[in-house]
Amino acid sequence: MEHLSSVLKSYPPASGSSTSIKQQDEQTRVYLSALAKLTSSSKKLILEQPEAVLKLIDPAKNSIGYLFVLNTLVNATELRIGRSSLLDAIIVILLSFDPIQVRYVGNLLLHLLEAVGTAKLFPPRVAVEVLAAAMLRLDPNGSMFTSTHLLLANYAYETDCVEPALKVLERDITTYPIVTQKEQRLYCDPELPLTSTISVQTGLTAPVKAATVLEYDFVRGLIYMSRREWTKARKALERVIAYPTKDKGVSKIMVDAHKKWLLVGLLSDGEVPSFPGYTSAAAKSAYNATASSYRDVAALFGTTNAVEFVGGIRSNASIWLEDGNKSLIQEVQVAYQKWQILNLRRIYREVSMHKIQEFTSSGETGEPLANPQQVVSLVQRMIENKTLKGEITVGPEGENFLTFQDEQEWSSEKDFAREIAQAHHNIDMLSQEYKASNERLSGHRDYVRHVIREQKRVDKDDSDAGGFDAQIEDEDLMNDIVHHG
Amino acid sequence: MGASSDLLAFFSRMKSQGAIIVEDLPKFDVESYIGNYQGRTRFDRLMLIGESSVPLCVDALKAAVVEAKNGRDVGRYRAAWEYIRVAAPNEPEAKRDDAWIESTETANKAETTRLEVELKGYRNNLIKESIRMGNEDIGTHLEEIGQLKEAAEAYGRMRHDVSSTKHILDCAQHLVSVALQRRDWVSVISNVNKISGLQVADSEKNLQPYVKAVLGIGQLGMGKYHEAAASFLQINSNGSLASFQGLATPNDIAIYGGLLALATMDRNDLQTKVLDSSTFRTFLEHEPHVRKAISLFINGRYSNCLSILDALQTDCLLDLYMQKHVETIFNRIRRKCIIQYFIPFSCVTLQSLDEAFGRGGNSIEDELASMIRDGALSARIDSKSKLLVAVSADPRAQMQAKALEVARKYEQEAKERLRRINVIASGLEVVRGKKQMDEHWFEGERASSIAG
Repeated sequence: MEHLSSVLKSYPPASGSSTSIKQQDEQTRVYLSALAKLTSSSKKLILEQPEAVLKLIDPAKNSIGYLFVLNTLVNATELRIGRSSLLDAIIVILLSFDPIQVRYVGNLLLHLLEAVGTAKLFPPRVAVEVLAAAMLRLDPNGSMFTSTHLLLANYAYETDCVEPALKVLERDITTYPIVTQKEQRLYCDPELPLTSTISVQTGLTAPVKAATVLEYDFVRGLIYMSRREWTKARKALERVIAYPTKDKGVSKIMVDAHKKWLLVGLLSDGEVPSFPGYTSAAAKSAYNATASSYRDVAALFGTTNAVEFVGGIRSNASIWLEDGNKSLIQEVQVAYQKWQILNLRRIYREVSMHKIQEFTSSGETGEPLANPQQVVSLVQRMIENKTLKGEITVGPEGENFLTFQDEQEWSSEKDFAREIAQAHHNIDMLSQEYKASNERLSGHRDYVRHVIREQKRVDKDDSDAGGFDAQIEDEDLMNDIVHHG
Repeated sequence: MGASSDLLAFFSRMKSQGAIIVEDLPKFDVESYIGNYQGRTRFDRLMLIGESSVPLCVDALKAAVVEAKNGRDVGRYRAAWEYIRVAAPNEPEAKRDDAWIESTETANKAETTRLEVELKGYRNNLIKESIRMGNEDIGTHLEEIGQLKEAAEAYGRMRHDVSSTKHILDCAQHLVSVALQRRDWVSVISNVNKISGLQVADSEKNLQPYVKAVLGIGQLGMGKYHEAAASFLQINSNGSLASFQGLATPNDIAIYGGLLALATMDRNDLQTKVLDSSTFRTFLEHEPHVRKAISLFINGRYSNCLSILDALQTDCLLDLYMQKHVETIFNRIRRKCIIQYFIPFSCVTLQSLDEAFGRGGNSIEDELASMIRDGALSARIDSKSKLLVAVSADPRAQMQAKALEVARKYEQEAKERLRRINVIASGLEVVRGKKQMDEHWFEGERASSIAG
């Protein structure tokens, strides 16, 4: 026990802040090899007195040791530790690990995260919360995609416990793990970019494939749909349908996402969404071929022709069912009349309920509503859930009127200034990320090869031209070589 | 009684075929109207009046039968007879003249064969001019007997053997004539452009009215109203009007040009290009109503302008080239009037609009709604206070909204592009083909490229 204790507690060395990065790295590696060399009797000791061993280590200061012990426990066939103590220990380490230390034992951490996300150790709410917190601890900006992202999204969606996952899901992902990342710098270098720390090499993410990324955004779309946040859902799905492709490739997930995207676009904006400019041509033609009935219905959504709209939906019922979009179609039907009413704001400042009843029809039956009372209650609901900015007033002859109000999002100059400042800040942050990416990619072998090739071409052009300048250059070059030689 | 029920049956059939039915009595009678035209257009115009105008139906159809029998086109006779058989079975013209049909058909066939044999002879002799004339003869003959497609082909063959600009001109004029009868506007315009591109020194002046009139009719047919108006307005009244007597009268030109200009041009252009135009004025003198309508519009008296136009509408609806476009053109003029009326106000009561533009006691509100929906009118209706309110743009708010939108869009786009760069840098693009297989292949390639 004493030997074990002394090994485990030998890290981090209490030498204060003066140690260089190189020394830190060396110490960590020494410690790792010491752990690896622990005799089987020591390991047995861990299994026999788990609680006591765990108590020896402070997870925040010595995450490596703690993870090592925990991993030994989780992998053991037979547990001598109370379930609650083990779960407590997992939560403690996931909420307090040192983000730099875990780079050395990434596979252990990933293993633990996967266990939380799949093994039903915790109630879903706790599991999702802990997973999300641990992920943000690794990458506070949440801009790097990992295999854990899909795990989290799937788990949150399946257990219908989305709320705590949102803090990760709402981040904009801009970076992806690079399979062939070669990093010369040391793991404990705090300057290390994300692509070097969260990589397959450090073990903090499993290898990622195109399908993983697509599925993640697809599931995000589903999650927002279940929360009825249509605009966010549309944006998530937009990422899937406009995903970069090569050699005219189109994935089935993209095709499925496109169908949902059309419908969600109707719900969020009241009109057929248009493809982002960077959608690949091959994908577009695949979408047009696979979603014609969706397109037809979407085109009818913006018209006042309710009968045809409903007819189009009814005649394709089997398609919606087959694609699993039946409930989404129902949402679209319900939204049809709401958008008709909303569009009236472009024509009227005040409009009578009678006119609304006359001009708009239900997307479910294709008929106008039976009486003005139903219209009033529909409008009332829309005002209450903030889809419509306006109020119901009573006219001189006792008739109800809907008065539309301004759509402006901010009320004062101050608000506007704040919005602009926020936008400015966001763009500033982005430009930093751009710089980082640029730096990283400038060192990419493909790019370097390209630069060399370009340079050779330029050189060749010069020598072909055979101008006077080129000759001088040649002579100078010779002189230089002679001189140094 | 019997006659009117026959007419009813006839017009319900016409309606189901998509014809436009005009019930009002136009300001002309068939006899004098058709006297203004020459050539094959006479029959087309008579038939159009026959199938559209209720009061003139029988007169027009009877005249059409006579017109058809004066020519050699059996198909036309049959069509006219079909109509009159339903519309007025008791008229003497409703009895089918089988003897005439038979004799004309035989004669036509013989003539076709004769001309073909003749042409064959010319071909064997390889005399270009004779071949060209042979083709022209065949074309003229086929046009007369109503085989327009074949006629166009024959005329088209003339082009191989042309030897002077006059020949090109003849060829194109024939083709234009056939295309006009076939309502093939694209071909009308392309052929007439061939004429206007020619360098003919003397006859240039004489041809200008013809070229512009045909061009205008072609553009009108294609719904390019603005271009059509410009073409009509350019017609040189000094040139020979006889050259398009088979096409349209000066009155027609005045109506076409005037109405289209009213529908598409602004007040300034109407004054300078229409009323003050020395060439177009000659035409407008034939139709003082149109002239008056335009000057009323310029002077802002919109309701008077519209009431004059209403009176003109019936005649226009019975015009060969205008009929299909009357509704659109008149609607445009009406909308323009409403918009112009509203411009100086920030707020107008619906009542005053009704007084100015109301039709038969119907409120204008729905029409305004559809105008706003189409984006023609920038205003909002306040149906509680019965007002039409102009949308007052707050430039500051607009600027702010725009600024924010641009910033957001930029941010989003930049993020997305960064994301895509990194997706590609990580080799995560979707690739074509069977997924599993390709991924292995793809990874294999990457591995080898790393090794290499």
